[in-house]
Amino acid sequence: MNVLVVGSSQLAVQVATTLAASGCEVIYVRADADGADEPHDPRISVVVGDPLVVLEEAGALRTDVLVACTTSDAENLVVSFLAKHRFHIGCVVARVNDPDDSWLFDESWGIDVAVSAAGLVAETVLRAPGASAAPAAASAPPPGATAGDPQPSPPAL
Amino acid sequence: MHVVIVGSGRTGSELGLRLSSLGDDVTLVDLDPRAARRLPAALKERFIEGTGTSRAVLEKAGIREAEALVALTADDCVNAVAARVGRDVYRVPRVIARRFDPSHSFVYRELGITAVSTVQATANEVAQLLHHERLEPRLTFGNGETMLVRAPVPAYLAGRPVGELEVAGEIIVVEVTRGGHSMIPESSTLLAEHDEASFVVASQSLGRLHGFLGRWA
Repeated sequence: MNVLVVGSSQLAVQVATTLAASGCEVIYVRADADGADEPHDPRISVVVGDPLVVLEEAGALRTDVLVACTTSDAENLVVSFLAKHRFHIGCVVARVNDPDDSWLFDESWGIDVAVSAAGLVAETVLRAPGASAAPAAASAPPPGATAGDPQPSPPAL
Repeated sequence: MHVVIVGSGRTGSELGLRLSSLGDDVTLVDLDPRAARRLPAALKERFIEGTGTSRAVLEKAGIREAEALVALTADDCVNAVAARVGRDVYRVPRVIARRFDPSHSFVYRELGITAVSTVQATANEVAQLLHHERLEPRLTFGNGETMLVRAPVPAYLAGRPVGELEVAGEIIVVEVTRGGHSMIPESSTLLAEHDEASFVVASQSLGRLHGFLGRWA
């Protein structure tokens, strides 16, 4: 499976490394900016440049999955839109940084799966065996909900 | 008209002032609270701190009633997202974004968003001032990609047809003034000494027009 990981954060690096370890062909795209993290893994090719501009050069036309994992929600949305509508990538996964922006992460931006790190952790806590009164909503998110999106009114723990 | 301006930097503030003076009701949104500092007191009250992609912020800024949304931040992705959300989610009738990086023009095209580029407009203007001082544009269109210029017809072109000055897609002669009377020429119209002509020209073809008019200094 060909995977394009767009990002410049530690999280993006870890996603790319984990996928490469599972046997995926991974290409990592990062901005040409100070402090942008990149994987040092011989299995991963790194393309440096403006993600909006270098997607095609990075192999977007041969990619099965794109992971938009930058630290900017707006950039993740635009990268996802281009991935789906310009390059027709089958599966687009996008990272939500700010829970306030999670309402935007849907199919209108070409996103198949939205992942919010904060939400995933919160959901895991709520589902943990020790968590009292885990809400029913947390185990059955409504259709169209962001994976890992915090529920509207989580109970006090 | 209620206008939401996302990005309250120099351009946003200037636009806010200008629209207010025209009687528009303006709200400015910026992530940086310091952006409010350069605003006059009347506009400071219309400033909202936050991102132009947040539903709460946009709604507080009155996007539901807005007749226009202008996205002017220095981040093309934020501008594109704010503009598209304004158009598609809130059905704002008029949406304009600033294109900060000229290499992103295809992004706005794909999203179908009208974008203006200050970078391109400034570069075009300065290049013209440096190289084509005597062919001053009377009017520029879009971001300065095409313009209307007016110049006297040099004596050595007298007797030549207008069509010889035209290049498809680059230079068109739209008007000729002769003895105080203006006319729209055909390509077979013969030029005369003391004519003045108006050209619509692509900015990258200004040099070529200079060549035709013998103005290479």
